[in-house]
Amino acid sequence: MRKKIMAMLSLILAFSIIFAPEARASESTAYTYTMSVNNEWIRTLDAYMPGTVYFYDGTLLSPEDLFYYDGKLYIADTGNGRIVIYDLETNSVIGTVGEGTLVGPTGIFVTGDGIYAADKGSETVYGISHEGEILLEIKRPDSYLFSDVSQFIPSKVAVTSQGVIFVCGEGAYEGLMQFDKSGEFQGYYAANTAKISFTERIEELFFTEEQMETLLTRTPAPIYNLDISDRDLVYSITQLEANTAWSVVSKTENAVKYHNMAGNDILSKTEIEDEANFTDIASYENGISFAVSSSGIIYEYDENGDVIFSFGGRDTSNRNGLFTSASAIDVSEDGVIYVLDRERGYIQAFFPTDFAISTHTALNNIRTGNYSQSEDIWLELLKLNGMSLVAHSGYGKSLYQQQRFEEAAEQFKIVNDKHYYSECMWELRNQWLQNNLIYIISAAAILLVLLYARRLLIKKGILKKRNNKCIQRLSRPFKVQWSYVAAMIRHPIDELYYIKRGWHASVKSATVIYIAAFAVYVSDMFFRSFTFSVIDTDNTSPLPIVVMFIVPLILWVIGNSMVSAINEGEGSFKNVYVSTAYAFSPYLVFAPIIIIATYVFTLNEAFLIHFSWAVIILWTAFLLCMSLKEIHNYTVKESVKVIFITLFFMVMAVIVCVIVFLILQQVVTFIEDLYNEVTYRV
Amino acid sequence: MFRLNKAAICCLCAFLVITLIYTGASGGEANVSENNEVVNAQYEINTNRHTLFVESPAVENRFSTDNFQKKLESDILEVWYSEESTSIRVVDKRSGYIWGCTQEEQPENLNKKWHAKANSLCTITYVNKETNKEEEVALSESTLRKEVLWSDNSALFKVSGRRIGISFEIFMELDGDRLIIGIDDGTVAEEKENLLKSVIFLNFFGSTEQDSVPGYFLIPDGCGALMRFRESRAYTSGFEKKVYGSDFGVDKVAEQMNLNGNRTDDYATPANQVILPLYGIVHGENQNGILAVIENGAEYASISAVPSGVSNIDYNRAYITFNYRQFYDKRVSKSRTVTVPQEELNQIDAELSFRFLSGEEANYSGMALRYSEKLLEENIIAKKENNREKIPVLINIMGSEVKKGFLRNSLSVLTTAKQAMNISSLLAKSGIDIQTLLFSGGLSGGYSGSSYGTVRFEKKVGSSEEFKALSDYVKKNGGDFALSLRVSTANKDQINISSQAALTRSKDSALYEIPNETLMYPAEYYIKPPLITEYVDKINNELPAYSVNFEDLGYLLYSDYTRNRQISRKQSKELLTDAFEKIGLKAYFSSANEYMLPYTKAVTSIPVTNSQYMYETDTVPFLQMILKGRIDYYAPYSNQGFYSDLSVLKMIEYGAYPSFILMEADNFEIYNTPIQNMFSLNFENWEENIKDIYHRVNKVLAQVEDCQILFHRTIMDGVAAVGYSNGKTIYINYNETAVKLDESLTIPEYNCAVGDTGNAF
Repeated sequence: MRKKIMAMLSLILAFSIIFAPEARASESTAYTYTMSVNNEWIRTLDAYMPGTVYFYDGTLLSPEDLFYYDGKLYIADTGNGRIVIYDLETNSVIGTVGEGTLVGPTGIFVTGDGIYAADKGSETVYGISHEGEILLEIKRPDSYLFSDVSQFIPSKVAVTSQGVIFVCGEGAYEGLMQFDKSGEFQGYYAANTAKISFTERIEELFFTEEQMETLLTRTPAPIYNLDISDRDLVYSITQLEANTAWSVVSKTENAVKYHNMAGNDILSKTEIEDEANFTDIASYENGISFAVSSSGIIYEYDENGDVIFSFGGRDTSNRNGLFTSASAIDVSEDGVIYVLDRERGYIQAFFPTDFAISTHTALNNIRTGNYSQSEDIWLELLKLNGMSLVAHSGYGKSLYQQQRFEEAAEQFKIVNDKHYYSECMWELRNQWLQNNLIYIISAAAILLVLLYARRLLIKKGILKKRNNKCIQRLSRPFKVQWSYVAAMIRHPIDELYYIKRGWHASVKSATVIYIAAFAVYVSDMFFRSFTFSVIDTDNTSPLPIVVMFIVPLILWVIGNSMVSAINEGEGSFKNVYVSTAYAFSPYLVFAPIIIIATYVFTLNEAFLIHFSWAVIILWTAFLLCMSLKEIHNYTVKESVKVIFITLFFMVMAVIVCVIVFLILQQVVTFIEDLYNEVTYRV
Repeated sequence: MFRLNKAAICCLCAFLVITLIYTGASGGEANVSENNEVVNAQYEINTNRHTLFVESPAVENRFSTDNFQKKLESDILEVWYSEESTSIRVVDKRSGYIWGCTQEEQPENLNKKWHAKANSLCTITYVNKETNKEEEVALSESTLRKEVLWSDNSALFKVSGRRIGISFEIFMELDGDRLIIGIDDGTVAEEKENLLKSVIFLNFFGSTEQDSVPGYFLIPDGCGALMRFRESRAYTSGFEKKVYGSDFGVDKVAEQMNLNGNRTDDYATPANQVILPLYGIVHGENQNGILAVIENGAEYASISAVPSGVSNIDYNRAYITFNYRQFYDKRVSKSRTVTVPQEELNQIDAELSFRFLSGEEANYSGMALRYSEKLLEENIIAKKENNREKIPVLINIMGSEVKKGFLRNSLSVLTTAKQAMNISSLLAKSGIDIQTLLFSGGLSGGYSGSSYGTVRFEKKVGSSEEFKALSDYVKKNGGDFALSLRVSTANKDQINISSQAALTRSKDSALYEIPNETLMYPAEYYIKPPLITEYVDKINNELPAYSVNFEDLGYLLYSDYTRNRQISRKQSKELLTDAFEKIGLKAYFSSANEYMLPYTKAVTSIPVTNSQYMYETDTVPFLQMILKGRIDYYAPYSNQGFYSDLSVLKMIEYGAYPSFILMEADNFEIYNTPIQNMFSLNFENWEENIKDIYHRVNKVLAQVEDCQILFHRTIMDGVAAVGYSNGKTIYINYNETAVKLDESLTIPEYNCAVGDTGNAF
């Protein structure tokens, strides 16, 4: 055993000193990331540089929280049971507070009135004057509002400018505890909602009451940390479950929330980029906030919850700007960020670079309505990173507000922002209509007059009705086949009868229709206007799109004919093939109209598009079922049965194919391995 | 008349000095930086990316030569030896300062084993073949039998460990102010089941207890780092790096720490690798110093600088380890490996020298001067006479790159040769005519798409005539044109992995993988060294008209374990240097290990910071002091983040010429290409900045063209002075207030000034 450990140790020693070879211009120790226009993480210029390290001398023991106030850092020195005050001006500790009283303070907040400390050790929230006098003690409230079953273990505290005290309790799933100035319990605030997983839903459906009682009670996640913004509203952090691949898929809640007076989340982005192990959040001016995860990743958010920057990370080799276990973050009025490392007991400062400062200026200009001013800065930022989501969307918004809709639309298209794009389109359409209304109306009037005149002339016999037989003869073979499409729409049952008899439509014409339907399908995928496009054309592989159309179709045709063959169906394979093709008639005729309509309509009229789309699909599906019924001459009951069997066949066919494929793959790997092994040995 | 003339000249001189006071920073920066800079500068200068201003009090002797016998003597040094502890004391006769390891008697904070190790002349580590167990033995321990032959100025230690079956001979030589110590390759013998793993000489030599002595270690990390002696702190590890970087044939490329987050695990910027085989010790600045240099066997050596506090040892210590063997994963079947020490001994003629410095020499500047002298003597670097009136600028043009496509990858043409000509002439017109124009992605297939070994131009970018015309144009203006390419690494689409990628000892392809799924090519393979020299030859033969920028060749050194054609790290190095020697090629390198310096035209991206470890207290321009006036070097690409006013000041402080990486196409064009992390390359966007930055840097650095740096010093908080061989001194003021040095010389805030008094104040 020991031998093994030694070998392992020497291995670690031998291999630990490995570095990527290439050096780039970044002067920092960690890359700064931002969101790309496709909502992927992408590197950008350094936004913050690691600055001074404070307290790397072991003064602090497992510190849990820090607070910046008026040029000083207040640190909850948890392990030593005190609060340490550090003056950034003179670079020295100017005092400690609460020694002897505090047991293990884990949360701290400072206002002009004094220092508030949440002391988990003594289960008390203290209000301490700047001179060190204890002014306020909040113990477990006696109030009937306070839940009987819950404990009072205050871990974090925050105080509004009005003196309202919010306390974050360990395991307090009822929400934040709200106290008034004098420490009187006012009630709970901003609770998270309980999440119900899919299995739990199923359990709920089938379990008896007794069974339900044996299950664990479902409680929402408690709020982990909080901060007060300059608008006196509360930011909260909730630690989510371990970030496994599964929970990423099923993420139901944001880790960062911004609460209004009623406690509701008012961040406008519904799903924000966050980390499951956020430990603290700090509010900066102009709606900007910073959150840090215990792995040392720092996120900067704008007021909507969009990520502006993300940097930092976990430390493995004592490098500045990285953390072993980050526990708190705060920011000074200069925008200098202070991050506390609990494990090593030090504070790392980050200061903003020119790049970060100009980004903030631009964001603020947009907030305050300085659109034309912000435009220049956004252009400058786009120069620095042409792929940044924040920059493109900021530039777009500034153009939009300046009524330069065409340019704005271009920007929103780049960042895939359909909402704003559609707004631009609405404005542009409106402009166009306003400019051209007179022409449209007069053109329509002239056309009407002409038509009326023609009819009048024909009536009077001055003009003969034109009859161009020549053209008709030329296009006859096609025209006849196409006319069946129209017939299928108007009189499906009759038409299906003719097809069954073989009087109408041929295999050739059906094939043409399949190809046409496929073309419509592809253009629906790729040529809808940006506002209504369903896929991201740049990043979608064409194969699945093709497969999604062709495979079900083939399976349906084959399945249908095979299933009906053993269910006394009358139709032949040819009948099925042809009738299925003609069932696509409504799709073929109306889908192109909708595709064109997407260029005219905006999201305001989205209902029209979606509704007519649903009608077409349902209609086509109806015709498919109809064709099955008529071709095979089934009753309704029989048809339903055959349809279900066919669908079952389709699913089974796919499963069988997958299994066969997997087995074949195994065989191939086996042979490959065998070959490799042989060549390796020989 | 004569007297009048003299007065006039004096006046003129004074006038010149005043006009030379540089007033650049107010230039045409974007509307973003001006008043914000105050915030940045004050924080920046206190980080370890700059040199601190620390005054050094006088240092007293801590050791005596009691119990030691004087064995060797030169006119500068005396070497005293103690047989009991096999320790040495070195007396510097100029100052009387006594250098040693630790106290004779065991101090409280070291146990017996550590004390023996600390004082011994050398410590060896061996591995048992059967058990893989490592054991450390100090020379003073009885396990090793010593027989010492002393002569006038040298000594030979015959060491044999009968029990462990390892024997070797240590030689020691005193030569003026130099003490040389080493082991010749032929003398190492192994008889039993134990294998020699590593040898450390004098691992506590010049060590200090916590902050008891004012001083520092100089570490060749990045451009140079200082580790000032401070109180013990809880660091998890000290500085320990292989000289010339990792050996990708043996070292397992460790996975980066898993962030376990939403973001990619590719978060930490790469730390610098050691490119100079040396370290320095200073006890009292301008009082006593040692420059330790690996004279031989550097490719198997690693440099350690351990701050006080690591593994509870309260001593700051710096030492060299010669690695004779290394553990690796031996493949026993396709899926299984076992960790074993390598079978054969690395061939090392280990030789380590200590140069003792005293007085004015005893600081990092003095060390840089001494080291330059050594390199000049060995013809590794040479003084250069460019006779340029202006500084050059480096423009790297991105020609073409593969783009992830809908159905298949396509080639994205970013700049054609003609457009590059246009860029070059636009810059030349505004006075930036001495350009080092590199052209990346000019070869068939694009920057990351050209198949390995190709020498054909990409037709869509330009014909060979067009490239020739571009090259001629740039050279006519006084600059140089070079094709930029990678010859040591390639991605999976550029090579046939099984035949072209080097193999590790574990018989896997040698590769480096970046943990970032969004990258188009996260893995880079290392090419077999013989193929590299073949390619270099081919380029030299078929593209003789062009200079070449080898992006990755200068700093990569690895072994290759292809069956029957194994190439050790040392052979790999010789293969490269021989190839360059044979064809007499000088090329550009993005970064060059010391052995490549003789073949280096210019270093295209010189580090300007250390790796920012917490125990590193300062960054110093050590590398720059060696190269300035001998080999040109360029700052990191300004348009990749090194563009702020602070960066420009640092460029001036470090004597680095500005560089840019540019293309004609729109920035968005590089999205979904392997270079999408380079965020901003468009020429038009940067045109004004290029002119602005160039002229600001040129105004100052043009005055010291072809000169060497004699000293670099921080003369007060936030003010650095750099002295050049023509008597000019450049002062850089990072403070928010102007600094008045004397009546005639005031450095404005965030600005610099040139004085010609030749001293630092």
